[in-house]
Amino acid sequence: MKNCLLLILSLLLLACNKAPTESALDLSAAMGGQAETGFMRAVEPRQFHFPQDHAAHPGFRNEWWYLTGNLTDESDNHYGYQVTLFRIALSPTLPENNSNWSTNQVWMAHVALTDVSATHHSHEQRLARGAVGLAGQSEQPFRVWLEDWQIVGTGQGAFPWRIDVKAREFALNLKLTSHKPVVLQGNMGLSQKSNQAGNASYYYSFTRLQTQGEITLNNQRIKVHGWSWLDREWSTSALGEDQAGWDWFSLQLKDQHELMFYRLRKNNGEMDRHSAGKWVLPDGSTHSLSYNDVKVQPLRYWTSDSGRRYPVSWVMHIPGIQQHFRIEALINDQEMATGIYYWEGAVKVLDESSEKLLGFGYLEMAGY
Amino acid sequence: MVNRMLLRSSWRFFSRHPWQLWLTLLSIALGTAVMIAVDLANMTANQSFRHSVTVLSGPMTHEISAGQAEFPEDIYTRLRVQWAIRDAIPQVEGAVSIAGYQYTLLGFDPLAYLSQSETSFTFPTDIISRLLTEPDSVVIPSSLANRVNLKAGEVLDVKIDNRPKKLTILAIVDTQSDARLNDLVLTDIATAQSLLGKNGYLTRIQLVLDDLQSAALKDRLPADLKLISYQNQQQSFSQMTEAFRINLTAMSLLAVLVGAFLVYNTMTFSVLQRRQTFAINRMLGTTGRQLFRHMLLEAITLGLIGAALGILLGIVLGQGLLILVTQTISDLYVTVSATDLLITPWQVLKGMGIALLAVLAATLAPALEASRVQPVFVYRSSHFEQAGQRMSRWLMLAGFVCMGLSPLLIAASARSLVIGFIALFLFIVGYSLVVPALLKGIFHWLQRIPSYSLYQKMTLRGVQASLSRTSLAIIALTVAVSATVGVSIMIGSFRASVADWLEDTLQSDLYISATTMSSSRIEGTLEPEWLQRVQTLPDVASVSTGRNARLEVEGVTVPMLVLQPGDHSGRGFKYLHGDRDDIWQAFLEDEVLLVSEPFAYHRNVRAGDRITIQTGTAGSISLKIAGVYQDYSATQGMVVLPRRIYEKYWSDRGVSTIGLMLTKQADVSALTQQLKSWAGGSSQAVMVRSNKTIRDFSLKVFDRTFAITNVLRVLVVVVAFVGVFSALMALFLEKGREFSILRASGITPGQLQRLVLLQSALIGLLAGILSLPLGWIMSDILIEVINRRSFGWTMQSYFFLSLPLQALLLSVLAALLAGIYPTRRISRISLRDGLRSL
Repeated sequence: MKNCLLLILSLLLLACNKAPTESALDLSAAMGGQAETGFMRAVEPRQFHFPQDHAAHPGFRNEWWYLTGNLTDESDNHYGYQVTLFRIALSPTLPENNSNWSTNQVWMAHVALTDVSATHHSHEQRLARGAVGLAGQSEQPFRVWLEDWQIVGTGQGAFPWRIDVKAREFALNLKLTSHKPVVLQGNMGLSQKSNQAGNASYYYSFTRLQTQGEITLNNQRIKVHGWSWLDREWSTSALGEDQAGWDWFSLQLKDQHELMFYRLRKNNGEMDRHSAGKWVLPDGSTHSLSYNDVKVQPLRYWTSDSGRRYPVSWVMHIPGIQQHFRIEALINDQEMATGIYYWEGAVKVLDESSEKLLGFGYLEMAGY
Repeated sequence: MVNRMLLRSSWRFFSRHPWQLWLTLLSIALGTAVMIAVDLANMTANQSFRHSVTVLSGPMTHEISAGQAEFPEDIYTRLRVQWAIRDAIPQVEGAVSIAGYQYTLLGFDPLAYLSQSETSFTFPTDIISRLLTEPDSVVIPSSLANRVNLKAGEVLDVKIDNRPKKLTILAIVDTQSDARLNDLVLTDIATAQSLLGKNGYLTRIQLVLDDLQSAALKDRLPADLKLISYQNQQQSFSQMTEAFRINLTAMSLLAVLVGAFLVYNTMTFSVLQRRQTFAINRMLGTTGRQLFRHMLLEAITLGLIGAALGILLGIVLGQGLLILVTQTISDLYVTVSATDLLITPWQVLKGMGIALLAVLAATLAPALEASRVQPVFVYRSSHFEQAGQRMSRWLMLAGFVCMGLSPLLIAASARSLVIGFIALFLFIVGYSLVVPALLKGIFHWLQRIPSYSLYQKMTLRGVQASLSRTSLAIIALTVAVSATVGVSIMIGSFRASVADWLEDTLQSDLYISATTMSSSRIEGTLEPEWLQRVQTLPDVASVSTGRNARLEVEGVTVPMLVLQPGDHSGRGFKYLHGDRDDIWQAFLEDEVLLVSEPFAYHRNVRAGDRITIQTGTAGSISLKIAGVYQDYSATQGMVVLPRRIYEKYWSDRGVSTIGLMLTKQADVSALTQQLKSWAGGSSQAVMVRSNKTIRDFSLKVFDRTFAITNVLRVLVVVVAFVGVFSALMALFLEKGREFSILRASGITPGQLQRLVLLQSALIGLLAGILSLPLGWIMSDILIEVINRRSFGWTMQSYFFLSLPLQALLLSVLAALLAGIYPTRRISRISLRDGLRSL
């Protein structure tokens, strides 16, 4: 009677997967397709406190710690990396059960490394329940972890942070120090995603994190340095019914400017008017961008093995600040073939007319 | 070249003797059926275990468990977080009773399952999320849903530890594809822990490990946890159950042997009946070689039809045997459940092949006989009778050689079970070969008794004159009845030995155990306060405790009883050698252990030897065996360790069973009542049983274990019965002319009927008498050789007076029944028709 588990579960999943959804997922379900009643909502701007707000906000349904970065080694080889921890609350309250395993919190982590010179992108996903020490978060000292993958605060207060990840194909041991103050996205950190009240998130970023450390690839330890970007977001929102996905840009320019812009895509392909962004100046001051401030156009598409067609080259015009970029994927194949399929990868930013390299960044494309 | 004339003559012969044809086919079919059925049931049981290990463990290769007990859950976190082992699924398991049936509640972490293979991950649909968040929610198999007539969303009433609970059905899994899943109720690990009262504990962790990882993990695991490889598990299962399966196979081959005797008998008989026809054929130019070939062809045809029927019958029979086989394996070894017979073309071909070979071998002599028929037709069968009786001397000699070889083979083969069976079969065959000579002797002796009536003389002479034809039927019946006698004595002795042993072993009056009672094993740990509680009871003379654990001895894991003896416990062991008091003294004071007889047999150790055992906290140590005690509980053997040594080398302090010896004036029922009421208030399942309850239960398990043997024994007798029936009937039918002459000489039909019945009864009686010595010797070989080699058990041989009577009754009854139809026919036959053929 012992070993029937896998079989029965496969049967169960099989039964559940009869619905013709591809890989049993649509994006809104991933972002928490369950009932929203009982969860906290992001309705109005709030006061942020650090380092407390780095830790989790379990009353909200979804939350993530999103670290991406562009690094170079001593021979000037370029690497992109992504370390993301997602927290998903399955229900607003804890189940009534005194088992240590009892929890409503599920954690998911995605890590990826792009080796540009080898044209190789490797990635891995993990899942764990937020119980018995398998995954979770702590405030003092700050730490979020899933098994032996962790993001941990090493000092008093907010930064520096350390990333420790040992995936099957690579390892990351990086130290992040912030060079700029926090950027509260949207309206003082309240980022509205659709018309519906509460369909919004609390969203802040650290846009210029100096990064130093080591990556291990093919059993070789490589010293690297570069810049990382942290996005923190928590909410109980989902995509609106007419929204199909998003394209999210985080660009770090050599002249110490940064740009965040997300384009919410409607089912008909148009840009949703809740698309928004922030232009960050070298001194850390910011300039909000709304959907009609920014024009983005795909230039070139790439089709992945999974059959998804992603735009891997873009033009972006922001007339208000006289910026005209061309954004190019460093390598085409940076698809995250995890439970949720999406494209998340390192990009370079060129001046549209002179093709001069302006900087690097990360691009996320979901819902394709 | 097929001779059409011969074919036609065969056809005529069998259409004139349809009974003979059908009964021949039936005895072939039955022999084949028994063999096929046992083979199929055996293989299915084995495959079912393999299946449950390999397929159901899926990609999982290993498991961590603590033997019988649960273990603290923190090892799982260490496994994942510190030791970076990715593919691991934690599970908690326990028994749940639903509508009177036992199910297994299996709690697991769905997320561990989902994160197993990172690329094929399908996002947890709402079921998994609800499993985690909705209290007491479960997924049940469709068979259960049908049984209780519930749908998803409805509430399922269950009992856990005898306490009613309500579970919510989240989903129903279609388990038609695999019957093994029918016993499982799935739930989240947190739900399972709290429902089963196992918070903080796991039953097992399933893993995917390569060799390197498993070696590394083995070093890291605490000593009380075992890492088991599923591949090894399958191997050890096959080894463990091998003896049992060989026993069944041997039993089924006995049916084939009996069947072969009968085919030989029928074919010989049919040659005799057709001597005239064959002589005419020879005159018409048919060569002896052609006749020989023709007989073989006839045999193959009969064999093919019979075997084909046998296979169909065997599949039906096998389905029934499978239930018994799996039950026995579950009682003796590990739980297996198989409901559908696995049939492979190879097995069918094998069964067919063996059946055909047996038929061909049995036909060889009669076919040779047919080929030697002279063109000059000799009608009188007395010619054949005389030749047959000369032959019997040679057969007797061969028989004695076979019987003599048998003990030599046993002595030379030491421990081989298969050779033990070969020796047994050799003895049976040898004895059968001596039977014709024995019969001759018996008749010689019978004739010397004067003062028979005419009737009695006619009965005697009638049987004697047809010995060449009847002796084979007698042999077949003898072998079948002796098998019944032998197996009955063996089982009876075994049962009586077990009953004695239980009487000795169960020294306490009352037993308290933390248990889910599946077969006869006790699992679980009693809450510590039980020990204090029982001390407060009045009239308790002494208290002993037992801990059921598992011990690794020189790389192999065996059951271990950790005994904290009470004043009365010393009497519970019966040692094979040595002084009881000395051994007990050593057990109480020295660093020693006791081993059971099967353990000593399988490991080839004796009292005074030292064995190396793996301890919980001190690595491996070597302990002296103080004594070897008689035990029938664990086929692979077990050990008994003094509790003080266990506590010295293990960290576990749990107790599985408490035994209470009461004073003479104790009110047993009041005490039982008190204990039961405590048990009712306990958060775990606790059983309070008297030694009588345990003894009765154990004997029930014993009987269940031997149910399959009994069924096979009956089947062998059925095969023989059909054969005897066909042989006698053919004989009497052939005697039609003789009977007509008797009638013409003035004997009434009634008298004739009585004559035939008397002859039948005599044949039956002879077979019955002859079967007794063979049966008795068979039981001896079964007890001393087969059982010892299979299980390492020795037992007292018991004699049961009822058995010889039963054997005689059985064979006389079989023979009488076989005589009834011809008798009725004789009374109907017209005198003129009967005489006309003269």
